[in-house]
Amino acid sequence: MALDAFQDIFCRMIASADYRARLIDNPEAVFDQHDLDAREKRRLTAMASHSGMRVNTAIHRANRLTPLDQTLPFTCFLLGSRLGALLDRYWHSNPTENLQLPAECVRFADFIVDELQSGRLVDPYIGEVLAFERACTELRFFSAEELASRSGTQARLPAKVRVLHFQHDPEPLLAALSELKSPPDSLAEGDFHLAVDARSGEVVFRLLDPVVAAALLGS
Amino acid sequence: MFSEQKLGIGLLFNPALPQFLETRPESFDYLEVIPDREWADRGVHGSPRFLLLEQSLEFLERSREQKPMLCHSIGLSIGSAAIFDSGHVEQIRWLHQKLDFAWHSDHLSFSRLPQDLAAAGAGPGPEMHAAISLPVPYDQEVLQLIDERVRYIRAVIDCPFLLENNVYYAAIPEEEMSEAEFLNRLCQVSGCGILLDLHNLYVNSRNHGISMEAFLRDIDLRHVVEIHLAGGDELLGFYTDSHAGPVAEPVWEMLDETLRAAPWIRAVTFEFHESSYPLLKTAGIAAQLARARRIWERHC
Repeated sequence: MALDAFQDIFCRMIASADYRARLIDNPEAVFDQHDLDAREKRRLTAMASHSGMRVNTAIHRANRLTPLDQTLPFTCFLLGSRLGALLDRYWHSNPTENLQLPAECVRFADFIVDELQSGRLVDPYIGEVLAFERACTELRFFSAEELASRSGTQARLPAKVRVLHFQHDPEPLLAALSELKSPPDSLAEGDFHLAVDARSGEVVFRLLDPVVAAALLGS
Repeated sequence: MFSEQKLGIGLLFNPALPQFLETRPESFDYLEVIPDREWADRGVHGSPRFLLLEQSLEFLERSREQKPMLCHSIGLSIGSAAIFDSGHVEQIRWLHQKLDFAWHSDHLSFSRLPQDLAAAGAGPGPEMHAAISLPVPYDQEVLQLIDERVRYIRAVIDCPFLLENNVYYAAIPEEEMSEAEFLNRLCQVSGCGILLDLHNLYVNSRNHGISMEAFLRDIDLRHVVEIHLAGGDELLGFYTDSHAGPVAEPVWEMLDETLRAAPWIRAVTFEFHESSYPLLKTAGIAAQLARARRIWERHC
């Protein structure tokens, strides 16, 4: 059936302006890889050049940003003007995916971690803020049974609780970000541990005494 | 087929609305909910696949005690040639058993596809998502495809099913039928009804020059059960269905015309995006609902 191939190309044209440009430049090179009838080819060729495709792509990108903004708002804020170029790279390597919240959050978080570890992205706060938001998302979207099965090194803790390590005082850091303000210059540096607790259904967090944190983490 | 009861004027629920619902219950007659926003869908291989968001079902059940409820899903992707998600249908059925929807609706469109088209026949695999509701070609082949799926949905979920006319930004050439003809024939063969989104129609009119009057003349208004009202804004030289703020003025005129002519309309729903709440505020939402009610009461 040609309809599935037609829809596949239609979708890929929206997700990638490069793909659309390739189709405009050399349609047969794209069509050769698909089972399309002559009418589907004429349709796709005409649609590729339609000015409305730019609107489709803009809406596609806005809707792909939404789950990231919902789950990683502080990270997106900290990325600031760097976010656009990072999203271009992320979307290029992940052109279309399941956009459900936990999956998309984890995928983008993995991408940012890779950027940090490779040194392409340098920022004093993003690593710990990203870990915090990722933990909040997991606690929100996974059941206690699922979290218990993946608790790893934090097996001593209840399934809906995480202890996160910060290198900056997390309370003023998160307070500033919650008001969409840059972290204060005077943030204390050191080893801080934040308990993130979702047992009530709401995610709440509090700073732990170092002795308590060490006992909880078994270190 | 559809309830004799006229529901009246309602709201599409969004996260900005809980306070409005509590403080202005007299302003709306029913609540329409998007079930896909009330759960996390971890994919067809997730176990459990659907995880209800904390407190969401409690909220819906409390709301259902006060008002009738409609279900308007966005995740079915009924027009996808290579995917039909019976798991999504089952989840809607489960929610219907909890909340007793007067009817269920989705969009005449597609948004989900298999990542690997060649492997699609081997069963559910990784999907890709268009992140936008895309039009299907109005062809006989697509009519047959969607007819079968509507029949399946109607057999599984024990309430009427409506499909919403779609908005599009890049027209599909050489279609075998007009949108109105496609919807008329689909209703005749499958037994579904129409959710007529007047703003979608206005958007298509603005962007593609189609005649709203001709569409309303050609569509069989006996199949229209519900109407959606919304507003939009400009993007890259197009007018979009962004649900930004109040209802677009020409949509109000169409509502008057449609309610006058359509014999079976049971509900008129105002939808806005939660990001527009600071623009509308409580008074603005109430004003939109009151204006819809004045028109409703003239004809219904």
